[in-house]
Amino acid sequence: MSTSTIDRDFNKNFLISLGMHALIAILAVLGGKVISTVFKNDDVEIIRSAVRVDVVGMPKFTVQELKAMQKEAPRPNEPEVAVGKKEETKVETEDVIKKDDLVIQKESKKKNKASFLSLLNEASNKKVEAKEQKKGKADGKDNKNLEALVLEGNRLSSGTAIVGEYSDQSNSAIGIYGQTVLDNTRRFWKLPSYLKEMNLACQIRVYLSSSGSILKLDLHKSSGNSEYDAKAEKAVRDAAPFVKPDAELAPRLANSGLILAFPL
Amino acid sequence: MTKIFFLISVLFSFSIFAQTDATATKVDSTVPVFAVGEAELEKDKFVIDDPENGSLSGSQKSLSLELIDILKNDFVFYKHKFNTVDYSEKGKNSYSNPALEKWQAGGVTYFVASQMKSSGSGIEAKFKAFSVTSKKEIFAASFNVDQVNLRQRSHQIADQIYRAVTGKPSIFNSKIVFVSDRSSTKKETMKELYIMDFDGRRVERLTNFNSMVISPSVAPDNSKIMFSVIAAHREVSRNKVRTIKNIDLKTFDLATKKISTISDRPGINSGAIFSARGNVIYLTLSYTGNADIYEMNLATGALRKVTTHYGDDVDPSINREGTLMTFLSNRAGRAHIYTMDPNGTEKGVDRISFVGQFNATPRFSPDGKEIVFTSWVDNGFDIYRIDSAGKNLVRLSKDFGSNEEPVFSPDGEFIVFTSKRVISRKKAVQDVYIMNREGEIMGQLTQDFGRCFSPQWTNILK
Repeated sequence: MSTSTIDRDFNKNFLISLGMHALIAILAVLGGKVISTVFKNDDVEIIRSAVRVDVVGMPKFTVQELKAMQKEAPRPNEPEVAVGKKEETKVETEDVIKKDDLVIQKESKKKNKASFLSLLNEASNKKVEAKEQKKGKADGKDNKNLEALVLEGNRLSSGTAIVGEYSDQSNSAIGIYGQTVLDNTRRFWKLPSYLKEMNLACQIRVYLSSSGSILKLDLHKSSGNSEYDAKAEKAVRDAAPFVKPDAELAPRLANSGLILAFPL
Repeated sequence: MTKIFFLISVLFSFSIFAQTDATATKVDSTVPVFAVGEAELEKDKFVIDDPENGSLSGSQKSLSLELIDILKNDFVFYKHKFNTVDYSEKGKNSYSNPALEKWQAGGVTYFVASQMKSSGSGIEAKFKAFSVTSKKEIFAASFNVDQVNLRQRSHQIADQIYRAVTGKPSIFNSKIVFVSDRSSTKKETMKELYIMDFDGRRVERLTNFNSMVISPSVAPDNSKIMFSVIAAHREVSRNKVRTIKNIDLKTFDLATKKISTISDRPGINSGAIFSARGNVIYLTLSYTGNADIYEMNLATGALRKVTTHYGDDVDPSINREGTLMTFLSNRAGRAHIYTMDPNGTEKGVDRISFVGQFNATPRFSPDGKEIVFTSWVDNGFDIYRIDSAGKNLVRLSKDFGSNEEPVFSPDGEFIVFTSKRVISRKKAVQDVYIMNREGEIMGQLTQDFGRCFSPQWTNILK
């Protein structure tokens, strides 16, 4: 066998070997990707879903406490921060296991072992700590927006929640600013029973200065009842001044304003 | 060309309608419209003026003042609706001369005037109520009041004025049935049935079993109270007579004071409630070995199984139409609240509570839209409200002892419940309280009356 024949065979086998190695390497890479795709992602989704359910608990705050919180929320009479830029409003939910919680869980496990009917009887004989009730203000105000504040309970949540219902449109700068105007105005939007039962509607156009105060109010659409229109106008005036708009939004609010519909 | 124009118009219309769903809608490209929503109800400024007294004796004068005080106190319960205001101005004779302009200037929306005259040992009380805003007399009536009927008559007057103002019945004529252990001895705990006015006055004992009365329920026409009692049954076995304790179901007729047995099957006969028509009852029976809810025809005694699950099903409550029942069951392990159609068996069972260590005593609101219940949280029970579809769960009580057995008032505006707090190692008190539907405590109804349990409201009769 000549040297050239040996070299030719060597080169041929070398190339075949190289090709086979390259093929194995490609298969290994592709196989790994396929395996990770098939077995990885769905499991993660299921676990996340389960965690969401576990976080759900009984509401910690009472309706009265939520009302008080709403009242105590700082009113932007002297706003420091300009509003108009896209921002997510989040509420922290407490998710800390306390010592007392563990005791209760132990008790609960014991309870599950006992019969359900005997538990019903025992339940009313448990000793409890006597505590004074925190007296909340009881003037029946601010019933609206309570649902937005009820962030716990049977609602599924991963621990944080966005307050209110924002559409795509209301996520714009004017939309976000308008929501703050809306939230303030709602606090003052009240009607006596005889007017409330008439099912009237009106629209007020409000022009705002760069500081958030009212430049001008127009009755855009009258309800046909002057007292109703006046109550709506009073709600806007009582709610002002509003949050200071950002510089880009201010000219628009001064020139075109925005329209508040009472109720829709 | 026309078709293209029409198509563009249609597409443009769709885009406009699509926008109207958003909170912020646009009437043109620059001015967005924001919906403020429904207005909150502004409380009516409500005045019950001092009476215009004729020639009255000392006792008649105090009767007159007491009557007005009861009226004012009744309306305070509805303080979420009325801002009751006192205006004292001697000699203004507001019954003879209502002077509505003056009240209107003071921002008053409703105004009640009265005139008291001597009538035997009591008084003749004439009342008028005015809508100041519409400048109309909306109520006028005369009542004979004496020391014996003072409280009952005062609540009747208050209810009639409330109806004239709101067009709806009040709780003023209603009563609360409850159980108390105040007759217990040192050796034995005994619980008996009592009834009192909605404001906690005029308490009357109804039963003398010297035993344990539990779970009272009031008939729709208020004629009867159904309850369970631990009774002694004699049992003959192998020629030996022995006494066993059983939970029997009985009724108390409020007119005749007669007690009748409805069911004394072996085991539990309890948690019974009347249907809205009163002809059938729903109760828990365990004579088959498992606690299930049954429907019983009161006339024939015929039974129909409503639940059949191997878990224990107790505490039924039915909406006014009889189309939805809520009950408590441990079929999922822990005690949770379920709803179902009571006209079938295990029909349309839907679990509506998914959280809480231990939930109990679900009770419908009168309109059937909401359920109030109690749940073990932290170191005691607290009261929660949820709608009948299982949404909008809210907490009503907190840091107020352990609060149990909530029941809506017949007008749906209030919730009666028991609250327990520990005084010492050996002593705990448990009393009946009222809160409004938003969880604001309105008052304590019982005090120093033993430990009180299972309050139930009587119904409003038209």
